[in-house]
Amino acid sequence: MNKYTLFDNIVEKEKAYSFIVSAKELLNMLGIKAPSLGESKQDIGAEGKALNSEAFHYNNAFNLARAKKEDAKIICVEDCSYNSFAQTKEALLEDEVLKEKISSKLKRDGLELSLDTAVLHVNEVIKDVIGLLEFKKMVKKSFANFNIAVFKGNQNSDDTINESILNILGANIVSFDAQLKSDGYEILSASKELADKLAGKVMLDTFDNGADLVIANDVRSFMMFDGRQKNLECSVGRDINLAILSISQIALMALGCDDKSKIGLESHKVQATLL
Amino acid sequence: MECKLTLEVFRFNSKTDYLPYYKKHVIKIDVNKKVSDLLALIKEDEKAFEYPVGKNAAISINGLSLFTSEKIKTIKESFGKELKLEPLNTKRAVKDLTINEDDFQSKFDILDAFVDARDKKVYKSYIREHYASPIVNMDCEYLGDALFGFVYDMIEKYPTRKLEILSCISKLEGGIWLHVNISNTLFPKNTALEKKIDFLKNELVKQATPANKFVEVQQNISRNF
Repeated sequence: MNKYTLFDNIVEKEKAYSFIVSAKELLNMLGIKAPSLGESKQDIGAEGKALNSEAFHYNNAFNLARAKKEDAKIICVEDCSYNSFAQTKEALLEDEVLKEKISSKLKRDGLELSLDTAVLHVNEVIKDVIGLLEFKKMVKKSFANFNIAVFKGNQNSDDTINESILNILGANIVSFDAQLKSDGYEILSASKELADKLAGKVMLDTFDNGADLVIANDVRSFMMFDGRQKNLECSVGRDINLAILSISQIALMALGCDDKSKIGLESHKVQATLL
Repeated sequence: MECKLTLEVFRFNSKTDYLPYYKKHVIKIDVNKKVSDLLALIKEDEKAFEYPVGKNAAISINGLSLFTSEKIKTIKESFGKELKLEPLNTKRAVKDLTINEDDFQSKFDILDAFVDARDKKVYKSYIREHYASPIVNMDCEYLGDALFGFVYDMIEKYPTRKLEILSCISKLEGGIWLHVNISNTLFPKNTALEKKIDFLKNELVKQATPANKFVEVQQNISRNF
C-alpha cells in the first residue's frame, strides 16, 4: 500500500492557497489519503535558486528526506515545487561536492539524504495512480462547450497530462503562440513594468485565440495572470477578464464538486463563471 | 528516406516592404539532410530568398530558436510536417530570414577590455540565446542573454578577472536581473544557460560589497531562505 504526503509549503503560499485547497479536495474525492508533509521547508522556486542555490537544494533535500522518513511519496499541488524537487535530485546526482555538503547538513537535522523519494504531481495522481480510464468513469460534468488554453511557460517536461485530462472532459484545447513564453514572474522584483508586459502578452494571446479560461498549474503563473490581471490589462491596454484555473480545480468540477470554497475559487481575483 | 514538408516561410524586404508576408512551399527532402539544406532548396525555387549561413546560422521554426545545422529528421519528429520558418527576431528582419545583428554584435564591446579578441567566436555562438529572449524587444538597454552566457565562460577562462567581469552585468537597468528563462523556447530545449545565469546571480549576491541597492535587497532576501 502506497503512502502519500502532500507538499503544501509552496512559493507565494498565501496568494495561491487555491492550489492547496483544491488539490486536497481532489485527492479526497479520489479516495487518496495525503496528509500535509509536517515540518517542511518552503520551496523557494527558481527565483530563490538564482539567489541562493545551496538553500534551494537544502530545502528540497530536507523535504525529500522528511517524506522518506515517513516512508511516503510526495504529492505536489503545482508545477513550481514539482520542478524544484526534480532540479535538486538532478543537481545532487551531478555534483558530488554539493551532495556531500547537503547530506552533512541533513545529518545534523537527524535526517538522511534520499534522492529516491518518489515525487508525483497531483495531475500524475489522476493519470498514473487512478488511471485515465477510471477517472473518465468518475466524470459527471463535461467541458465540451469550453475553449481552454493551457499555459506551459514554466513546465520543465514535455508531458501532455494536462491535454489528456482535458480531452477526457471534452474540452476544446486552444493553441496559442505564447504557450511557452515567460509569465514575467521571475523579473517582477526587478521591473514590474516588463513583468506585466510579458504576462499581459500571454494573456492577450489566449484571449485572441478564443480561450474561455486559462489553465496555469504553476503558482507563479497564477499569481501573475490572476493576481495581477488588472495590472496586465493596464499594461496591454485591453480588457482580458479571463479566469485562471488549475487542472485540480477543473477536475474537481468535472467530478461534480460545486462548492466554491472547496475548489478554492473564493480566493481568485478573476471569478470563474463556470458554476 | 524522403519526407514532404509544408512550409510557411517569412518573407520581407526592409528596403521595399511595409509588412512581412508568409509564402507557402511544399518541399520533399531527405530526412538525413539539415535545415540549411531545406533553406537551400527554397532558394532553388526562389532565387531572391535570403537566409543566414555559416557556423552560427540560426532561425526560428514554429516559434523555437534553433541552429540550421539541426537534422530534418529531428525537426520532423518534434514539430511534425507543417513548419513555420521565421527569422530569429522578426522585428529585426532585413531580408527574409536574415536579420540586422548590430545590437547583438555591439554588446560584445562591454567585455572587450577583459577578454581576448579571439573570444568573440564564443560570444557569437550565443546568437540563438540572444534573440530567444523577449526582453531584447522590450528594453534596448538589455545586455542580452548571450552576454550573460559569455560572461560565465569568460569567468571560467579568466578567473582572476571575475569581479571586473561580474560588475559589467550587475546593474538593474538592462542587467542580469531582467533575464527570463528561455530554455523552453530553444530547440532542442536546453537549460545550460539557465544554470550559468543562476551561478552568476549567486556570485553577485555573495559579494561582500553589493554592486548596487537592488543587489543589496537580493542579499537580504537570500539570507532569509
